[in-house]
Amino acid sequence: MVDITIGDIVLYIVMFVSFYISAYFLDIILNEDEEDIEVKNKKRKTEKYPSITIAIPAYNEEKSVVRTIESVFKSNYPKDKLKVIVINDGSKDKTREYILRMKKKYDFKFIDKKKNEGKWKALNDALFMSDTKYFGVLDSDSEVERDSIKNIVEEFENSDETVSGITSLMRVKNKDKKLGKMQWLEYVLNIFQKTLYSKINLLIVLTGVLSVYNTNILKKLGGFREGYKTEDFELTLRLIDNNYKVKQSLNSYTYTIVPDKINALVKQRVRWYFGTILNIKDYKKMLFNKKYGELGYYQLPLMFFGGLIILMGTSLPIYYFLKRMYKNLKALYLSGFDITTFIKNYHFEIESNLLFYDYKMMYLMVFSLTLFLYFMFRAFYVHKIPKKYIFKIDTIIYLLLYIYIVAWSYVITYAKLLFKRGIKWR
Amino acid sequence: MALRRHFFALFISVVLLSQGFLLGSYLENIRFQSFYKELNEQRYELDSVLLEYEYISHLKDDNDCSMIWKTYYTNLKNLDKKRIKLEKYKDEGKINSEDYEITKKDYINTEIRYWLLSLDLEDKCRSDINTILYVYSTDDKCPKCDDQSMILSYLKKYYGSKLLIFSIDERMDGVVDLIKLKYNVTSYPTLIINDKSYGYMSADELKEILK
Repeated sequence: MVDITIGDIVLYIVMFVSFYISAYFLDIILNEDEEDIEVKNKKRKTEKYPSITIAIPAYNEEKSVVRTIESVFKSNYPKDKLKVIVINDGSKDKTREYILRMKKKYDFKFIDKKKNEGKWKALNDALFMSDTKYFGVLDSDSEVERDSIKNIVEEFENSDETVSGITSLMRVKNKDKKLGKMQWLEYVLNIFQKTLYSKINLLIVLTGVLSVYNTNILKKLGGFREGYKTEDFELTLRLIDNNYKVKQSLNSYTYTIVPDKINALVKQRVRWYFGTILNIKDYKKMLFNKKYGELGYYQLPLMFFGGLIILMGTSLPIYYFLKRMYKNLKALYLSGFDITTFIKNYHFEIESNLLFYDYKMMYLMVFSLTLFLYFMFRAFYVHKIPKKYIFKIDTIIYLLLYIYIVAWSYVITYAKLLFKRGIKWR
Repeated sequence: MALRRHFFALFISVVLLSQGFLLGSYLENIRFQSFYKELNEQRYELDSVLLEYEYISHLKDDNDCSMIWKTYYTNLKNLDKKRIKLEKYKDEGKINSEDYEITKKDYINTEIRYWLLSLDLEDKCRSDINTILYVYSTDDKCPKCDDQSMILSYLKKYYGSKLLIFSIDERMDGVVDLIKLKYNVTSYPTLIINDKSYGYMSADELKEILK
């Protein structure tokens, strides 16, 4: 038998978790067809549309707030049943002026706050002055499609009264630059993941990009809370905790603008991961609790510990690389930095003996790659993404870089958690 | 049923993982056996060099050494490659310690034979080739042994065929004990160069001696 190193153990753990998650998805896919038919039979068109308020909180979003507001008014929801409230949360840029300009064109309520108090407070301000049946939240850097709002409301009307919130699917709007493309791919895979989860009635989060809630239920629970700057996730957990149901819409899409600079992306992710972990910690009674089913046994633990797995997986290659580098540098140092000798004697040898390679590692890598490609192509197929988006070599290299950006965000997140430093707003 | 899904996921994960593990272990065993076979071939090649040497001695032709040096040096290079391989396997945990120790003993005896042959050849043929016998220890007795090995590898590259290095593990008994006795080896690393013993030497110091 062979000696087992720490690197091997880390590799096995990461691989085991990856295979487990993949097999879990695979099982849902393989059993897909039966459940699909049931869902299709349930859909009915609504005759009378209920009233809905769309709240758009904005903080320093001068570049996108105009398009957000316009997209709501260009949607096909009956205008007599649609109320819009735009909140300026103490913006320091031209957001306020742009909103006022829009007010001349469209009819909506404008809450102009002088001081920035946070998105959750802004939403509560809007919530407690609404008396419509539904209350929707739309991020000011996102745009709805024509039928986004209608589709969610239709689904709400066809659901039972324990359903408290339905969220839309997110797509990336600005995918022209490489970073945007990577996030676009990530969001596509995320949509695919959400559709699979919704087949087993599992929901991750009612996202702040576009979610619609039952106004009365929301008011009864006291509205939004700060939730470590991830008030959407906090609210989702609170709704579930109060025995309400939450759903994922499969036909309502919202386009959001994603960070196009690495710094901004890392900042965003740190906010997400930090908030996720702390919110789960607050609701830790849900973990491995029979009452919450798959959410407690599978989804929440995965979200809580997922960062560790990603860190383990990404740090392994770095560890091996650094180990080798250290050895080479030491040899160079001991030789008195005689680089010429090393260069003269360097020959790139491809080991002719096939038994030299680490088959264990290769096998696991190849298998993981195959699984990833399978899910990606499946996601593309299911969501009818045109073939031209299937990639070239430089995209694959950038994809690896992207994974390390995400891993780096986790490093910072855990550092913050350990040292409990406060976060600057946005 | 959610439980069924979990069993399915667990089953697949365990199957894939153990497949990888078993495949790896199986191939690594084969790898080791093939390595051992190569080492045996090395011994046969040593035999044929010794035979050449015997023949040449018979001929009493002092100057015709170039041929045998060439063969000798080629075989030694191959042996050295195997040493590097063996160490790499050991470093990356690809063979377990027991198998490694046995093969190492075999290998070291082969090294010593080459070393003795080099001394004989130096006697019979004039040459500007230097020989270093490197005695090392693998436990805590020798913190500088890793560094010394790196330095010797570098010198190998620097001097090319003009320097022969033989490495022996001091823990081995038999002829290694005799060598330790002869050169009064008590601490490690010890380098035996041209019949004199030295302790840890840096690259520059060794270049001075080998001039």
